[in-house]
Amino acid sequence: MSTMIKRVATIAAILASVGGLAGAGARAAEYDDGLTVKFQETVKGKKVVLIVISSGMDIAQGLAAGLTRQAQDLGYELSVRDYNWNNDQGAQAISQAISEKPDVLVVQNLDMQAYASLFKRAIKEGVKTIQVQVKSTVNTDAYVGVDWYQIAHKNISKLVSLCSPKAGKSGKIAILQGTPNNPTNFVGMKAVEDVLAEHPEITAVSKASADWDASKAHGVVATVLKQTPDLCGYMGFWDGQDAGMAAAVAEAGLKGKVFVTSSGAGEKSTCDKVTDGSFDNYVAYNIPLVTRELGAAVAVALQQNTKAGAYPYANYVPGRELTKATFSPDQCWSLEQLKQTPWK
Amino acid sequence: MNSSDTIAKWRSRFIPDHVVGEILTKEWIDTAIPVVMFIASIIAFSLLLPHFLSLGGIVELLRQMGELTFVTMGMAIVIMAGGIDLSVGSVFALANFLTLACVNYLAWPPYLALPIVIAICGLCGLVNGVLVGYLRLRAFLTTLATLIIVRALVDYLLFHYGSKVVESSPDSEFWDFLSFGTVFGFPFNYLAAIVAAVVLHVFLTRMRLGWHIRAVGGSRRSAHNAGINVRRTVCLSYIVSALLTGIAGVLYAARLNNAGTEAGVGLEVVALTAAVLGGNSLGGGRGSIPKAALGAFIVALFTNSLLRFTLPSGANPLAIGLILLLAVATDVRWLKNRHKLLSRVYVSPAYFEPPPLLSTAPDSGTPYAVNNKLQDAEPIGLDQVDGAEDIAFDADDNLYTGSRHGDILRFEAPDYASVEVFAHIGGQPLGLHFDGDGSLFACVSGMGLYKITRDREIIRLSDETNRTLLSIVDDSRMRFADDMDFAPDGRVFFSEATIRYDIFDWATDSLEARGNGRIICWDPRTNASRTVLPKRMFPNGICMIGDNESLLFAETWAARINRYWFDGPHKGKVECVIPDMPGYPDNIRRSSDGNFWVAMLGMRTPALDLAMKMPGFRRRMAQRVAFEEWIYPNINTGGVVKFDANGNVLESLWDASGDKYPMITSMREHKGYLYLAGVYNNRIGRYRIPGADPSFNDRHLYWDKRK
Repeated sequence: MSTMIKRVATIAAILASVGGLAGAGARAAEYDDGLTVKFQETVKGKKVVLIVISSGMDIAQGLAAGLTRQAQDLGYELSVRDYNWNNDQGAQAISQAISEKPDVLVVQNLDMQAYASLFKRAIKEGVKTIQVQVKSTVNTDAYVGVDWYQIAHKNISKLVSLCSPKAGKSGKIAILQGTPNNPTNFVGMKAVEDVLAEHPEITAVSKASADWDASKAHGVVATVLKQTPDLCGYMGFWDGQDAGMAAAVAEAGLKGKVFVTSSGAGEKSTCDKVTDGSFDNYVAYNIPLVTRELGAAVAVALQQNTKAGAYPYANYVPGRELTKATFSPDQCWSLEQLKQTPWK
Repeated sequence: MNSSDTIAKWRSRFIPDHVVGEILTKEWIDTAIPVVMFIASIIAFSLLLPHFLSLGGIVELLRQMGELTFVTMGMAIVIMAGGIDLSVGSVFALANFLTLACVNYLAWPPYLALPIVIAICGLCGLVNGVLVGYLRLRAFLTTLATLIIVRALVDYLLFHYGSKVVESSPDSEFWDFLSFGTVFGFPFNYLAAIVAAVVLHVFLTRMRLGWHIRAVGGSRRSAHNAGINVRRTVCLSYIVSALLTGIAGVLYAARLNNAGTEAGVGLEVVALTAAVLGGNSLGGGRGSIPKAALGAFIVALFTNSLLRFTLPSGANPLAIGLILLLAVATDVRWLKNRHKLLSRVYVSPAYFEPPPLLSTAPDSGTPYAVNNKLQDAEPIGLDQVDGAEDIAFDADDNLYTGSRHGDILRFEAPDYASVEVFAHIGGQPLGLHFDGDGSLFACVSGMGLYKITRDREIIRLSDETNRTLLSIVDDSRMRFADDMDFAPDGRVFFSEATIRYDIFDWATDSLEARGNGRIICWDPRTNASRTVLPKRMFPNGICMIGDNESLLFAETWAARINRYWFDGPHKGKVECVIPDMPGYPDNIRRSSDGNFWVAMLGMRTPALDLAMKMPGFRRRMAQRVAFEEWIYPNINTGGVVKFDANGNVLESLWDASGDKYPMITSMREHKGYLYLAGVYNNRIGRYRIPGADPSFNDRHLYWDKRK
């Protein structure tokens, strides 16, 4: 019986290799400019691991969709892992990935420090590591993603100008934090503090945190609105959480009276919150571009035969400000579209 | 022998049915399910995931398991004490934060900071312990409340100091070692967990306080009645749990340097899942540290491996939930059904072909013919004895016998009217013999071979023998020491009637018809015991034959008497002396005319004899019929038989009425009388033997001869 199975397997293998040769033969006809074939051959069959915060999150979905498409087109092997907002599981995923020795490891951080030592180890073990969208304190081969200082700076500057007593407003604003050690929040708060230091006429009445949770945000914001009837503006750091903030403002009947600023991936569904006036100012990360740049970084890392971590570089992708007044649909991206955009 | 008999015989000889029941009695059987699950998941994941079994992969896996193992062990200890500790998740987060605050922000040296942090966690446990243990609040709600309170405290601290505590990390080798150190390739934190596991295992299984914890969890009331300080023990379990959780939090802080709010969220459920999955029963009292460690390993294996499949968010908590459900269901069903299963399968009958059944009818003309000679025997200790299995006489003719309550009673010569407790041993004394110095040797069921000196000092001589290599029952432990006798050189040969049953269900052994008993030799020169003759059917009635190299012993359920050579040219030989007793022989003693007395504790019946050849029938009976309805040896009728060393049966003595001495387990001839004992009789009998030597004392055959 087992010899039978073996025989069938052997035949199948022969057929498959014949098919493979035929395919290779067909491709061999393609023009080689000196790198075409080399590029294809180097990238093909390599292993890439992408570790994201949560696959339910639009940013992560965008990144995964882009890389999946790239992997299909270039023929490398992509494995996407999801640690679901849990740093411990994230650490497990990273250390597990390191032990598997992939050619490139891509990580979306949740915390400034948590994976710092793991990244050091990845580099020591020769695993090329790219951090995407959120950067830890440690430099690895590359960082691709937004500049959190700039994103927050845009929002807070806008809020300051809108709420200034010079503009006839109370000068009272509130900040809704996420988790303090997330780079988005940590770096963003630096921007907030810097701007506020320059504008003593503006006071921040609350800097409470809502742990990136929309329902917590709703509660915090509802309370702050009651406590400060003349609040002028509210700033958040991520649209997932700030949806709760916008809802609380709307429920209090203050939509349009209290300025709400937020930032996020800028996927089509959140763009609706700009057009319906939930977010008065919204800084969108250009995820298609981030994904594109990430793909480029992966392609470079796969091709270059350098030591891991030897030449760290960054590619900051600027965010874009969306307001109801200046809105146009092409400023948003859709996941469906991203999935279909071919890499080559 | 017809063909079905042949099949039954060979089947029972070669298929070891009794092993199933013996395995089920083992404590470690509770661990069998998680072990199977563990092996199955390792095989499954190694097939599904590449690199799973690579060295690096395993080391990484272990590194992540250290903390969960600590927390699970703490949870298991609380569960064993009958409680539950839901606050571990928050205490863990507190430990994590405090460690980072001390080490990073305050820049204290780690070796100073860690004990302080762990002690603070211990304080949290103390709060739980006082509330649950001393104030007797419900464990579930109390620890749920502390979970929320401590979590709120951590959230407050994190919000205000969160970003400060992660800005720097200490430059300390010790700290780096905690985070990423390996010892012989083992991650430090898992190694620490293993060391802690060993210490805790010893604590729980070998130390008083550890025993108290499981006793309290098993039954609070019984533990209280036994004098255990229940409240303190419960309180202590929470402190231990919190300390272990504190250690875990410190290791987590060192490993991740992460002051995130999600540290330890949901940890209580994961630890609970791990503890129960490992086989620690939620009802308390049953469990162990290895089980907790095993459970933690499986849960960590699952969560870690699931992480490597590309699954949607939420798959991991879903898996944990399903595993918890499975574990709890298994726990409940297993505990509920284990004893049912055990009682169904433990009795494991084998094939036995009984010898021909000789008639005992009064007019049968056989030496076994029933008479009424014992009817006139005078009672001793009427309604005072309970479980008098054997009798012995000291040099002053005082009479000694055992009792079901674990005492040795002494009836005063010459009229044996007054009785006192000579010694309290604890187990039921069976065979009793005086040695030349006047010390009483006793086979004590459940305990072994004991000696009681003239000064009533109780000395344990032997309670263990060599263990048989492949025996599943721990047969080094003595379960049923039954009768004994002295060899000329002072060695004691004693029988253990069965290694599979205890004194209270000794007669059930008869249904198995298997050689469950053995003869053991205790040597006073080495003070060690060795099994000399294994696999005998309820061996009993050890009696020296008088040639200094052989002894007689009865095999009760086989209804035969054998001679065994323990010395001399025939050493090791066993020869059947009487192959076909009509009843079940028990103790054998010397008679004044140079012959032997043997007691019959019950009589064979044709029905049971037939059933002996039908092991399948007896198995079905034991499984399906209530214990009270079983076919059973007739132990309501017995007698005394005299025989000579060649196996010729000379005479028999009976109580035909059956109301005074219905069963006889032992007898001893002493100064013209035959004294009769029966473990279920309400009296000891004293029968005048016509024409017997009025000065006969069987001790003289042993001791005076050599003096």
